[in-house]
Amino acid sequence: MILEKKHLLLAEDDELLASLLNYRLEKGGYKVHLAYDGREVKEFLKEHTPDIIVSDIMMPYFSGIEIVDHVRNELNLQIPVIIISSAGNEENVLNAFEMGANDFISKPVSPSELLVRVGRELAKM
Amino acid sequence: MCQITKSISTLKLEDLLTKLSDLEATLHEFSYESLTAAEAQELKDTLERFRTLLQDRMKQESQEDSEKEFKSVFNMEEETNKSETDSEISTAHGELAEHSSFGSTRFTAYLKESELSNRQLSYINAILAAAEIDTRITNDPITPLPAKEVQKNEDDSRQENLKTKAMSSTNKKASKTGHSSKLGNSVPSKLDLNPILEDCLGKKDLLKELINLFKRNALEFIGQLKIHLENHDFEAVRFASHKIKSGLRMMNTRELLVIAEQIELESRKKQDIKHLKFLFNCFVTEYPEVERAIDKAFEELN
Repeated sequence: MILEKKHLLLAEDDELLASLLNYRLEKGGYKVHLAYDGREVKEFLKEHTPDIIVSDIMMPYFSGIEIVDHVRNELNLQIPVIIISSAGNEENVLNAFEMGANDFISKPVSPSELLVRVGRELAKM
Repeated sequence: MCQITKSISTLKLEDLLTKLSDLEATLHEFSYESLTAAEAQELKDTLERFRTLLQDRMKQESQEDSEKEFKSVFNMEEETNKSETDSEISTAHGELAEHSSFGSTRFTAYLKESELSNRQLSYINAILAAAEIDTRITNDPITPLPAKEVQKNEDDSRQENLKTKAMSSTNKKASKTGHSSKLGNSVPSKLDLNPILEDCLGKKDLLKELINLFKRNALEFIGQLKIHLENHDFEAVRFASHKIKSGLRMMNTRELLVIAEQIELESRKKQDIKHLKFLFNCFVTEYPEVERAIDKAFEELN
């Protein structure tokens, strides 16, 4: 039996972090789709529905909070959303939770920790 | 500081006040490229405190009485508090050196020519030492330091400043995030790429790719910031400096991280473009050294 890979949308405008996370998530068995700003996220979501979204908060065009709002209130999707936030950005994290984010992870992001959190959120589905 | 003021007060207070005014006048020309806004404020505050002390003294007593009282107080303190006084000289020396508060060669020359006791002279020597450092900020045309020495003083001062701030800010972070092993010391020539190599699952090719990305991002950041600062676009400066932090943290480049954090913090205030430019210059100066350290650390990986 061949298990189909879970599709993960990674929204992160920092190429360095995105590259590292992309590598680790793919190694972890996910099919990763990269978006480098909020606009690319919205474009992707027009045609695809990933199994999970991992999004940075501070991004050009649309923030992570706006992405959560878009996913929950405009697309009415209940897929898990994990927010990446900078330390000391608690207010934004709270806003993201209010909008319907499922979890958050603080920078500096540990790829191993992210893998665990992603797995945990998908297991809940 | 108080001891120094007392020792100086054996001179004519009116003259001291005049000299102090001269000194303050020369300091109007200090450069923000050499001082941060906070340091400049401290400098002003120190001078203001000195002036207030002198004025208070003048109000209280006549010149003769003032001298007598000072000597009696001074002698009393000398007997009962000798070790404390010595420690205060050292502290005062440190404070003066740190704040670079007394920078007029005319002022120090005037003090030197006055009749002073040995102990009073030791105070003046502290002032002279600080004044020597201060020539870099007052642009004193009489006794400029050699260019190399000025540069060295600036570098040492900046490095110390950044080290202190790095220790302070990174320690706070360490306690918050538990990443104490990654942060806390500030030696640009020694970078540890092992944590990120572990994140790359030991894949050197990937690490090399990330290093190249880091270099490109850093150069882009420098270019962007230069433009944003020219345009006084504080929001863009804040966004760019926030973004670069992630990569700096990942590469374990503490010095640049501290500078980027300060740039982000300052740009939030949207006030001091000169200070931001100073921080930016620090980043630009520091970056090549960090880049070399990264390359070296990569070569040294097993």
